[in-house]
Amino acid sequence: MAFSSLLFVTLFLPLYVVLYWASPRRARNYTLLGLSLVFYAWGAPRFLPVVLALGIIDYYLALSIEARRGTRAGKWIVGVAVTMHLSVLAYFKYSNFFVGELSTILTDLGAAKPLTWEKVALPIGISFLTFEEITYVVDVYRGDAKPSRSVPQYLLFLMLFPHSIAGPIFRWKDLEGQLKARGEKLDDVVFGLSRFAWGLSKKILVADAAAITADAAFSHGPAELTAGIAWLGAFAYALQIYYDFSGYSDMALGLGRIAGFRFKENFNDPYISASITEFWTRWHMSLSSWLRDYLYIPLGGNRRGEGRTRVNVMIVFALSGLWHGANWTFLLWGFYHGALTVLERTAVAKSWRMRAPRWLAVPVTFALVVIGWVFFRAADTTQAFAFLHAMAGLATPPAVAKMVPAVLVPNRSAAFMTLGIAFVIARAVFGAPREDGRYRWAFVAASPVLLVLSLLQIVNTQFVPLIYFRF
Amino acid sequence: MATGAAKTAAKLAYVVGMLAFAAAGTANMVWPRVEDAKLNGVEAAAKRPELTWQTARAEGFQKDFTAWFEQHWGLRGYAVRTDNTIVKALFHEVRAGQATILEGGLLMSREDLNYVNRDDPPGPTVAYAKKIARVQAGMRDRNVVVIPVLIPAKTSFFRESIPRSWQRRGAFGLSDENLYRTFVRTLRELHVAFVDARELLSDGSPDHVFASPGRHWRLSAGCRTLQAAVDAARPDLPEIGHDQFDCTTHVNHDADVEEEDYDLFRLLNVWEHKPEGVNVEVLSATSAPASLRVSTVFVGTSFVWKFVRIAKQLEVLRPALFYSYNSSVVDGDTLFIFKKVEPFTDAWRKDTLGKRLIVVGILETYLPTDGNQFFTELDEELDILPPVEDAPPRKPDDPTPDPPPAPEAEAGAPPATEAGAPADAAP
Repeated sequence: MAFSSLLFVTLFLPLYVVLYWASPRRARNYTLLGLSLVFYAWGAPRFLPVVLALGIIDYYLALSIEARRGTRAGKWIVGVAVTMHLSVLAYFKYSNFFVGELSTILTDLGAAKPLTWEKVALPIGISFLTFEEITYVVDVYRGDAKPSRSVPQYLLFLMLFPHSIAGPIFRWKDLEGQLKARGEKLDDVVFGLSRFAWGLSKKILVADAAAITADAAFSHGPAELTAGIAWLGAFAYALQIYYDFSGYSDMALGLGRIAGFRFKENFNDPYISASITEFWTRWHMSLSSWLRDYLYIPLGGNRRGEGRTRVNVMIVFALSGLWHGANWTFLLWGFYHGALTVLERTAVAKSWRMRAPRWLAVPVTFALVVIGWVFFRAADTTQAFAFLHAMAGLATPPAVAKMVPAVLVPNRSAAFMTLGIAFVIARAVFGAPREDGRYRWAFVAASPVLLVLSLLQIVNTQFVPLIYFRF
Repeated sequence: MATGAAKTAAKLAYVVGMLAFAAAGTANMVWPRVEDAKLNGVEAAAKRPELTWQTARAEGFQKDFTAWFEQHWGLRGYAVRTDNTIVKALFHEVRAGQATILEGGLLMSREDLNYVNRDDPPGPTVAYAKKIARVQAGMRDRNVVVIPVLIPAKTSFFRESIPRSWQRRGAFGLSDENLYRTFVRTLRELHVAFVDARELLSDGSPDHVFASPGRHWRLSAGCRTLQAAVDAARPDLPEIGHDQFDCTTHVNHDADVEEEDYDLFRLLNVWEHKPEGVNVEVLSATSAPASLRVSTVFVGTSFVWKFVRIAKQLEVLRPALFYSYNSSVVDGDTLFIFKKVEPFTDAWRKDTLGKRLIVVGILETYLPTDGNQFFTELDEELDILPPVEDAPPRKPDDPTPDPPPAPEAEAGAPPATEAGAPADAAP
C-alpha cells in the first residue's frame, strides 16, 4: 500500500490518526505496532513471518552480544547476525540477478539450455530492514546503543510503517528514546499532516508529471533518440526521482510526526550542491551516513593514505549502487559517482572547487548528476549507453523522434516541471520553511490545498474510460 | 493575539478538517449520503473480492480489493470531474483517455492523431487491397456481393486544426500516401467495387462529416456512404433495380449529450454544458423501397453501427447481422449481441455465405489491419470451398433464416445501444 494510493490516503491514514490518538498513552505503541503489522501484511504477507522471526532472533542476539561485548564470542555473534541479514538480503534481492547472469555465462559457454529457477519475489523494504538490523547489532557491540528490553518495542522499531517502504533508514540509538516516550502533542498532528500533504503533492503533482516526460523519452529506441529528447528525458527523470523520493521521505516524516516521532531528515536540497561530494551529504542522507559509518570507516576511511581512500570510496559507491537494485545499471551508477568523488579528491579538482563560483559549480554538478541518473533509469546497460551516446550528440544517422511534442511534454508536465525547478531555486534563495519560524504558517496553510489537488489527481488517474466496451 | 484555547481550537479544526476531507469519499462509500456525480465512459467492472487465507497470502485479495475500492470510492465522480475541469482550464488538455483538445475546442481521438503521423511502408496495404480483390471476386462467384467501405479518419477532414505539437517532425507523416492513397489506388487498379468515403464526403464542410465533440462520423455522412455502398453493389444485385433510400435529415434541437456526436466530449467528464452548435441529425425517412431488403452482413468497428442503425430505421438491407469487430454477432433488428463470430463453423458459413451482401467498414485510422482478419478468413474459406457455378441469385424476400437472437448482451456489457467497440482498440 503506497502512501500515495487512494486506499492509504482515504482509509489507512484517517484510521491511523484516530486509532492512535484514541488509544491510551501507554497503549499507543501497541496500536502503532498493530497498524504496522497490518500495513506490512497488506504489502508482503508471505514475508511478514520472516521479518518477525528475524526481529526476534535479532533481539536475543543483541542481548547476547551485550553480555559478551569486547569478547571474541561477542564479535563472533555479531558476525553471525550480520551474515544472517546479508544472506537474507542476498537471497531475496540478488539471487534472481546472479542466477540470471550465471545462466547467461553458462549458455555462452555452450550449455544446452538456460538454468531453470523460480524467481524470488522481492519483499518490500528489505534493503532498509537489513541495514537497520545490522546497525542494531553492530551498535550494541560497539557500545553505541543499549539493546532493547522489549520484543514489541524492537519489532515496532523495525516495522514502524512510515518507514517500511522507502526509508529513511533508522538507527536504533536515534529512536530508542522516542520509542519509550515522545510527549506527542496536537502540534505534532498539525505539522505531521502538513508534512504528509506536502510530500504527497511532491510525489503526485510534480514527480508524476515529470514521469510522463521521462517515461516517454526512455521509451524511445536508439534510432529515435535525438540529443534533445535524451537530455530532456534525463532531466525529467532527475526531477521525477528527487520529487518522488523526497516526497516519500516527507510523507514518512509526516506520518511519524503524527505519532510524535522526530525522524532525521533524508534530503537537504541536493540539487543545489556545488560538488558530487556535497551532493552525497544532501541526497538520501540516512543511506550515505549509514554507508559512511558502517562501511567506509570500517574499511579504513581516509586514514590509510590517498590510494586506499580512493579504493574505499569506489567500494562504498559500488555497493551503494548494488544496494539500490540488482542490475548492472545500478552498479555502473555507483561506479560513476565513486569515480566522480575520487576525481574531486585530486589536486586539480580541489583547486577548481576552491575557485569556481557557486553559480557555476551548482549547474555543472547538477548536469553530472543528471548524466548519472541515466544509468539509474535505463532498463539495461545497452539503453543507458544509447542514451549517453545520444546526449553526446553522436547519433548517426540523425535520429527521428517517435513521439510528438504534445505527448512527450504535455502542458501539465511542462508546467509542473517548471514549478519543480522554481521550488528548488526558491528554497535555495529564500530557505526552506521551518517549523520554528520561517514560513511556518504558510507551510501549514497551503497543505489542505495540496492535499485536495493531490487527492483529485489520485482518483482521476485510476479512471481511464473507453467510449464503448470492445466485444 | 489569539488565546491558547483559540489556538488549540484552530489546530483541532485543522486536523479534523484535513482528516474529514481525506475520509469523506470512503465514508460516503460505506454510508452513502451524497449521490456521486455520474461518470461517462465504460471500464471493466472490479468485483469485491472474497477474503480468504489463500487470497490474502497470495496478495490477490489486496490487489482486487484496491481495484474495487478505487472504482467504488464514494466521491469518485466529483473528484474526477473536478480534476478534469481544472486540468482542462489550466492546461487545455485532459489527464487520460483518448480525447484530445485541439484548436477551437475541437476534440480528436488520440488514435486519429497517431494515424496522421504514421510512416508505414506501403507494402502491407497493397497486399491487403489484393486480398480484398481476391475475396470480392471469389464471393461474387458464390453470389455474394462484398463491398469494402473506406471510412475516413477525422484527422483527414481537420488537418488545419492539428497544431505542430501534434506533428512528429513539424509535418504530417506518410499515412496519406502510403496508407490511404496506396489502398485506394490499388483497389482501383484491381477493379474492386468499393466506396472511398473520404473522397465521397469531401465535397462539403468537414463539420458535416464529423461533429466537433465527437469521434464517430455523423448520421448523414454514414447514410450517404451506405447509399454509395448499395450503388457499388447494384451491378451485382439486379433484384434491387434502381431503387434508392432517402438520406434526408433534420436537426434534433433537443439532442441529449448521450448522442454519439458528443462521445468524445462525454469522455472528458468535465463540469461543462454540452458544446453548442453541434446540430445532431435525425434521419427523416422511416422506410424505403422493399426491393432494398437484401440480406446483409455488416462487418467492422463502432463506425459501422451507423450503417446498422440506418438500415434498421429505413428497413433496408435486412435481415441483417453485424459482426462487431469481427468478434461478436449483433442482430440487425434487436441490436443485441447474441453470439460470437466463430469462423469456419457451419453457423458462420450459413450467416456469412448465405447473405447477398456483405458491407465491410474499413476505418482509415486502422489501415492496413482493420477488417483484414475477416478478409483473411473469407480468403481461406474460398480456398476450401469450390465456387457455386450455377446458383441463381436469391430473392430478397427469401432470406436465409437467422438464429433467434437472445435479448441480452454479454455479461458486463453496457446496454445494447452502447454495444459498440471501443474506438481506441485496433482490431
